[in-house]
Amino acid sequence: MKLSELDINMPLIDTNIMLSRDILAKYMGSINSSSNSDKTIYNPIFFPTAIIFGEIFNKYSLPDGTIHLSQKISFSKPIKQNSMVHAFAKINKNTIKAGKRIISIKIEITNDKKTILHESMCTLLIS
Amino acid sequence: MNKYQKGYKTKSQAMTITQSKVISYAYSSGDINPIHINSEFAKKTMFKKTIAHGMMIGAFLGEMLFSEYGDVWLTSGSIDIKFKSPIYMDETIETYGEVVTSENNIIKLNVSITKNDGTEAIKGYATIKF
Repeated sequence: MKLSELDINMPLIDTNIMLSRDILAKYMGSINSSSNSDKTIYNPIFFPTAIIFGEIFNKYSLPDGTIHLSQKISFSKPIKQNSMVHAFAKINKNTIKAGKRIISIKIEITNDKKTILHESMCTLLIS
Repeated sequence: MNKYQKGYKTKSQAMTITQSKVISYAYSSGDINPIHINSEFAKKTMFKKTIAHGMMIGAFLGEMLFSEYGDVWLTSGSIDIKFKSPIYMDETIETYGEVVTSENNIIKLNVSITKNDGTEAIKGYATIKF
């Protein structure tokens, strides 16, 4: 299914995701910061959203030439390493400007008590 | 200068982006879009070459802020960035951060990532409550 054809508020994912220490170690290695994750019990800020993007982009196809325009992440509570979170993502905006489609995706990460931990918004330009 | 004071500049971090790091990031995050990892595919796109993930480059800002502010950053921060220019393989980038306001126990930092040719790749701001 193509991401660009989905309606506003259409849920993209609504699932539990395990942010395992093993995946975190590989992720940190790729950004040259493997030692930083040993200095805290929490996940780095971009890590949960990056994993959820991976889930979304694998589930929905994106056309060639898609550009990630912007990214906003706010976090009200830290997420402990090796923890299970609930990820909910939806299309927040799907518009055409100057012949280009712009899609915004909103992601909410919550814990088992439904408390919001992270919220993020990404904007994609689809040529 | 105190790191919560206006005018404080974070310690810059420089790194070179390599295809092996990008492939490693792709498989750890699950974002295996071929524009990042397949040079033959990338030739047919507007970029002509593989590019790093925006989220991968953004993560360097997160690590820079963690190095400065530790768990304070991880527990009470936010970041808002725009991706202005793609990062190609073997390009060297450098992080930048400067406290521009400090009021009511909240600091706002201008943050950016610049390529070695001077091009700004990412620009935005971060806030931290302390």
